[in-house]
Amino acid sequence: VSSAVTVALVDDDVSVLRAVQRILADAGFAVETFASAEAFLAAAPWAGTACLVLDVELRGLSGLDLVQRVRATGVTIPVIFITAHDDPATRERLERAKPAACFVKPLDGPSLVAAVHHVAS
Amino acid sequence: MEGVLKQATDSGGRRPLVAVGVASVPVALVGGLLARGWRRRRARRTLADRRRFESLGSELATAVLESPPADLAGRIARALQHVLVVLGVDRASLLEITADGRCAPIAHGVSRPPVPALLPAALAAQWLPWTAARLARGEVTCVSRIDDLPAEAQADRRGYQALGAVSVAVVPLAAAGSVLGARPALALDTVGREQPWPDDLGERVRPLARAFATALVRRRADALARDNDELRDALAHALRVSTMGSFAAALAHEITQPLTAIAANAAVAGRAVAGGPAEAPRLPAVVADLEQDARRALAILDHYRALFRRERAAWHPVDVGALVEGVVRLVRHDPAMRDLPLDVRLAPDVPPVQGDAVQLQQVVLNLVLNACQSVAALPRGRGGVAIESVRGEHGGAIVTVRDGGPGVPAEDLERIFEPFVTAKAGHLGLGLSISRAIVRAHGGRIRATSSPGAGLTVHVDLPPTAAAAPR
Repeated sequence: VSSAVTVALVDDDVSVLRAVQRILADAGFAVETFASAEAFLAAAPWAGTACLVLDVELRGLSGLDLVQRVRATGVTIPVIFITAHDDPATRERLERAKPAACFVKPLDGPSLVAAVHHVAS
Repeated sequence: MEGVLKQATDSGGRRPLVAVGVASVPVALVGGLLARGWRRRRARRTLADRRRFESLGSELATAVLESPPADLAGRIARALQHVLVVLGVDRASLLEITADGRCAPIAHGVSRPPVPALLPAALAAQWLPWTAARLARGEVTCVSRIDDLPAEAQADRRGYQALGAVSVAVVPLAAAGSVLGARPALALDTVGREQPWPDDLGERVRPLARAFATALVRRRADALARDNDELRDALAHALRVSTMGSFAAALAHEITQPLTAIAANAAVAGRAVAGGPAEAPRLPAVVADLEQDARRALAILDHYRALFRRERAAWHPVDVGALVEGVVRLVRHDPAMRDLPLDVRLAPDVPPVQGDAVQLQQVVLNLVLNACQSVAALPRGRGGVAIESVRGEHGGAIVTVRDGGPGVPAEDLERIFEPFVTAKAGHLGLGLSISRAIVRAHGGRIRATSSPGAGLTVHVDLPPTAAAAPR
């Protein structure tokens, strides 16, 4: 377990946070959960975090804002976005942040796990 | 015949609304002797008649005030029937005569067989300017023979003649019932025979005339109320449909959250079950979450279903703060608006108002959507939307929705509530006019203020609970 890859998960919906954590944990990842962008920022410098999976629509600082702030510190953790909005405008905004992957809710668990494996290994 | 007449005459104590089609007053065509006899008896009967009219009048007035709208026409007809019997006339009608003398029936007239009732079309074809002038002065028109009408009543005489009337009495109803200058009247006449009128005819039928006037006012009010209800329901639905895009987006987003959790937990549970006894201890927590998220999804559906239901208005105390919060929740979930700064201030002492929660919520939602749209095009960080609810000066509640958009010129502030007035392309411009109709139906008032560069503020004043009633 100590050799497990660590994944950070940010979602302000506690229920979703818990469920996605279970999926990733089942797949063998060590999952650190954060209920807001601010909470994740407070955990800097994120040593050992191999991948950041985050909801785009967060109360307070948004998922995009969070990625910008993290990148501004020079940290280049690969990012996987999760969003509830499958519209061209949202997609375009997200693409600009150059994420490793983007998923639209409701999530397909196996696809997410595959993407995290790909990014984090 | 005389026996029947006597019996009817002596039946003063009987309930009046049952004596239908029986003449209580002898026909006066039979000659001088009988006519003298009628006059002698008339004096004795005057008091009894007056009492009957009084009791009939109060009975009708009570019936009118207590009857459901559907029964009103029947009550009016029965009362007319009774006038017919008690006064011994051939036809009794309620009609309206305009200031220039045009007639229109306002209730089904009654007649004593074999005389047919006045046909609305026949009545509408007549012109009675002299009678109209007397009605306008509140005077009773009353002649035993239409030939006795003065020379200046030529047109009226021809009109009555065309209707086949010989003796005519037109008694004004209370002026309160007049609409657009038309005055309601009780019209009595005989066909093919003369009828001596009591000198104090107007005085005698006054209680009844008053009751008829009440009935007509009531009938008009019922019709208005019915129209208003239907109009308001239709308007509220139209507003709902026009805001449906926001609903759909917000609903989709909100329900996605629990569904995401449910799908993920179901997958986890599936694997845990497949993993055998070693995995079993994990299951209760996962299943509990599944259940909780399913409940959450259902609660969201309920919430949106309530906003969309097409029902007749339901009149209940409405919590204004909760109403505004419901709207804010919707707007925050709409992708087109979720990034706009919303400043929500709900005073804790706002009393509940009386009304239809769904309709009022539609109004506030519409105002907030308008506000969001007027600031949406502005650069990020400029122009937010502020929603506030406070207690009204005399109780009740005031909801204001302020936007930081470009505002509206002072001369257009009234016009924006008119239908089809809009500054937005692709919009019908019905939202504010529908909102105004709904607010007015709640006994409230809606107005807009604006100052250059400071955006538009719409104020909705809703009266305290006691002052509002369905209209």
